Amino acid sequence: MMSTKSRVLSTVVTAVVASLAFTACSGSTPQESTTTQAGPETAPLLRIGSLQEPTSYDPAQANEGHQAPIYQAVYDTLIKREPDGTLSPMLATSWEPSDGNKAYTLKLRNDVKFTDGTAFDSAAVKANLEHFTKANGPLAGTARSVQTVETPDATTAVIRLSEPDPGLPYSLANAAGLMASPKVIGTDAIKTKPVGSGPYTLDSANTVAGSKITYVRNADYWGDKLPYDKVEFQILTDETARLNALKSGQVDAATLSRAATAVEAEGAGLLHKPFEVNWEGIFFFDRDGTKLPQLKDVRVREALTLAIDREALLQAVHLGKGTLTSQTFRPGTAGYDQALDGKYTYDPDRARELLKEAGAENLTFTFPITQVFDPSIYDSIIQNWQDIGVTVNRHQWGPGQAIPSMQRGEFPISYMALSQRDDWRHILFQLAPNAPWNPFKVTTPELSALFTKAQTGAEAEQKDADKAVNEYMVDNYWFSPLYRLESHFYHNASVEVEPQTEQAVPSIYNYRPTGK
Amino acid sequence: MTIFLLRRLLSAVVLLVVVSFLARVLLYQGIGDVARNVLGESATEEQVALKNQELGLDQPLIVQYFDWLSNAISGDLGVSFFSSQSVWDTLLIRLPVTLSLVVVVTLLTGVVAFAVGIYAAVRKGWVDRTLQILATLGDALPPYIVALFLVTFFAIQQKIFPATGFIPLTESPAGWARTITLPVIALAIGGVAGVAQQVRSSTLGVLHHDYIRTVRSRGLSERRIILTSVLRNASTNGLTSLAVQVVGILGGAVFIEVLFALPGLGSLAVEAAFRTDLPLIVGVVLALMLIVVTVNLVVDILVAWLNPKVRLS
Repeated sequence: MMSTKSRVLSTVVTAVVASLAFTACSGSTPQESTTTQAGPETAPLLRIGSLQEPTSYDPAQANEGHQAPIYQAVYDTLIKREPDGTLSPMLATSWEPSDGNKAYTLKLRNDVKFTDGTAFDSAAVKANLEHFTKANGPLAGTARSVQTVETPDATTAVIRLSEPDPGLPYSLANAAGLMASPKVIGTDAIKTKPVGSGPYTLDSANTVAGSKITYVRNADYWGDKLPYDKVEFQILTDETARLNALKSGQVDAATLSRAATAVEAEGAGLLHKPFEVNWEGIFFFDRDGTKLPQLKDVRVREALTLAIDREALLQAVHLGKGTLTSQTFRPGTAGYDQALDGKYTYDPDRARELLKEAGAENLTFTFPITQVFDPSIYDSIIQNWQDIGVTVNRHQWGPGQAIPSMQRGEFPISYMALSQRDDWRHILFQLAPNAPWNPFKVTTPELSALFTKAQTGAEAEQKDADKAVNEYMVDNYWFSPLYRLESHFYHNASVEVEPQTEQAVPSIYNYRPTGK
Repeated sequence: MTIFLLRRLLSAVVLLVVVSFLARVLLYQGIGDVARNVLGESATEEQVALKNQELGLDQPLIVQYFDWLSNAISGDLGVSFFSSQSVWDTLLIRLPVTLSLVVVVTLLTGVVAFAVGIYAAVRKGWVDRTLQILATLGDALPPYIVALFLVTFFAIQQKIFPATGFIPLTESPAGWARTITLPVIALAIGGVAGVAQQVRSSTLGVLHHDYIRTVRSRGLSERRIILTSVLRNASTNGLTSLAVQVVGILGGAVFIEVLFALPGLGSLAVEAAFRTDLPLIVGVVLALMLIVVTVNLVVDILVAWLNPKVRLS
C-alpha cells in the first residue's frame, strides 16, 4: 500500500510530467498579431526583452539594430524613421539638399530643451555631429561625408559634405542624428548618464548593468507622449532565457533568433507580425580571382549558385519562415525588382556543365564556418557543392573571428547574413570598392559609372542607376543570395507592435497598449 | 597554522600572476581582430587602425602584458574594450550574483550531502540503495537540463518562481530568494549526489574502525558517536569532494546564469568571450580563480582543524 508521502510524490511527478507533455503538445498554429481597436492611451509599464545593451550612452558610440530603441528612449533624432522606413520631421522640421547635393540645410524646432535645461539649437547640432564624426564610434562611417556644420542662426544648421551623400538623411534618423545636451558631450558622465531630449529619462537607481535598463517618462517632453509611463529593457542574451521570459510573462515583447524557437513561441500563444530584415546567402568576395582564380569566371559563380537547393534549406533550417530571393536589394527600394527574386533556381546538372565549360571541374576551396549559423546550413551547402564535384575544405572560426576575417579578405567565399538597407547605403555597405563587405575591392568601369549616377544624379537617374546596379549584381553572380529571413519578434496580447523597416526590433515609438 | 596560511597565500599570488599571463597569451592568439569587433561591421580600415591604437593593441604582446600587470598591481584592471566601464566596477557589480549562487549552493550541498551520506551509511539497507540510485541519477543529469525542467514547471506553468532575472539581497531578501531558488536547485543536485557518495563511503569506513567499537563499548549513544567520533573523521573526504564540486558549480554557473539571465560572472564570461573583450575576460578569469582559491583555502583550514596530521605535513 502506498504511504501518504509516496502518494504526494507520485501526484507531483504525474502533474509535472503531464503539464510538460501538455506544453509540448499544445497547438502551434501561428498567430499573427493584427492591428486592434484603440486600447488605453497610457499604460504603466512596457517590458522588452533585449538581446543587447549599449556599451555606452554616448550617442557617438551608439549602434543600430537591437540597440536602437534603447537610445531612442532617451535621445531624439534630427529626423524620425517611420515604421515603413519613410523619414519624417523630429528635431529638424525640414532638410533640403543644396550646393549640388554637397550640403543639407536643416530647419530646427525652437521649443525643445534637453533634460538638463539646455536649449536645443543649431549649436547643439554642430557639437553633436562634430563629436560623432571624431569619436570613432561603430557608426562613425555613416557620417564620413560630413565636413563642417554651419550655424547661421539658432534654428538653422547647414551640413557641408565632402561629396554628395544621398544616405545622409537616413543617417540623421539613426545614430548620427541622436542629439545629446552639448553640456555633457565629450564628458565621461554621458557614458553612463544620458542627457537627451527624448520621451524618457534613465532611472539609474533601477538600472543594473547586464540585467535591466529602466526608463521613466520625461514629464517635460516636447513631442507627443508615448503611451508607457515606464519602459524596462531586460537584457536577455540567451535565446532560451528570452523565450522563457516571454512565456512566463516576465517580458511583454522580445526577439527570437531561431525558427524552431519561434514555432515554440507560437505554440505558447505569443503574437507576431512577420517582417524581413536580413538576407542570407553566399558572398563571392573574390570576384577578381585574387585568391581563387577560378572564381573570376562568372560561370563558376553561377555553377556554385545553381548547385544550392535553397528551397530545401529554407524549409529544413528556417522552417519556411522567409522568402527565396536572388537579389540583395530590399523590397520597397528603387533598386529592387520582384522578378529577380526567382532568377536563381536549383539545377545541379547545369551546374556541373558550367564547371566543365569553365574548366573548373577540380575546383577546391576552403569554406569558413562560424558557430553563429546553424551547422546544418553549412552541411547542406557543402553537400550540394560536393554533389557537383567541388572539393570543399572547412575552416572553423572562433568567437568574434568571423566578421574581421571576412572583412580582411581571408576567404574567397563565405556564408553570411546582412541587413537590407536603402539603395545608396546598400551600395556603400556591400558593393562599392571601399565598402566594408567588398574586401577584395572589386569593381568594374560599368559599375563605377552606375555608382556615380546613384550618388550624384537627379532623383530619377538615381533610381535607374540603383535598378541597373541590382541587375548587374544578379547577372554577374556577385552574391548567391538564398532568402530573406523573417524576423522573429514576439509579444503578448497586452501590447500591439508595429515592425520597423530595416531594423531587427521595433523602434520605441512602435508600441501601443491594448488594455488586455 | 600561520606558516601554513602564509604558504597558501603565497602560492595563490603566484598562481594569479601565472594564470593572468597565460590567459592573456592564449586569448591574444585566439581572439582575432578586436578593434573591428568593437567598431562593428560598418567600420573602415582607418577606423580600425585608430581603434587598435586607442586600445593599445598596436603594442607587442609582452609590452601589453606588463602594462596591464603594473596597473593591476596598483589595483587597476583596465577598462572594457567595448564599454567604458572599468573591469573592477564590472566585477564588483557581477560578483554578488555569482557569490549568491556559489555560497548558497555550497552550503546547501554541504549540509544536505553530509546528512544524506551519513544517514545512508548508518541506516544501510533500502535507504542506502535508494541513495545510490539517486546519486547516480543526480550525477548523470546536467544542471542545464535540470534547469530547463525547473523553469518549465515552476516558472512558466506554475509561475511560482521567476524564469529570469535577479534581485539583490540588499534590495529584497524575499525577492533575492525567489530569483535564486531555481538556479540553486539546478546547480546543487549534481553536487549533493557526488559529495553524499563520498561522505557515505568515508562514514562506512570509519564505522568499521576499532576505536568506534571501543567508543560504543563505553555505552555512548549512537547519535553522540556519529556527531563526535564519526563525523570528524569521515568529513575530510567529504570536504575535499565539496571543494572539487565548487569548481564544478562555477562551471555550471556559466550556463545557469545565461539561462536564468542572472547578471553574474558566468554570464559576463560568456558575453566577454563572444565579444572578445580581453580585459574583461582576464578579469573574470582572475575573479573565478580567486573564488576557487578561497574555497580551497577555507576547506584546507577546515580539514587541518579537523585532522592534525594535515597541519603537521
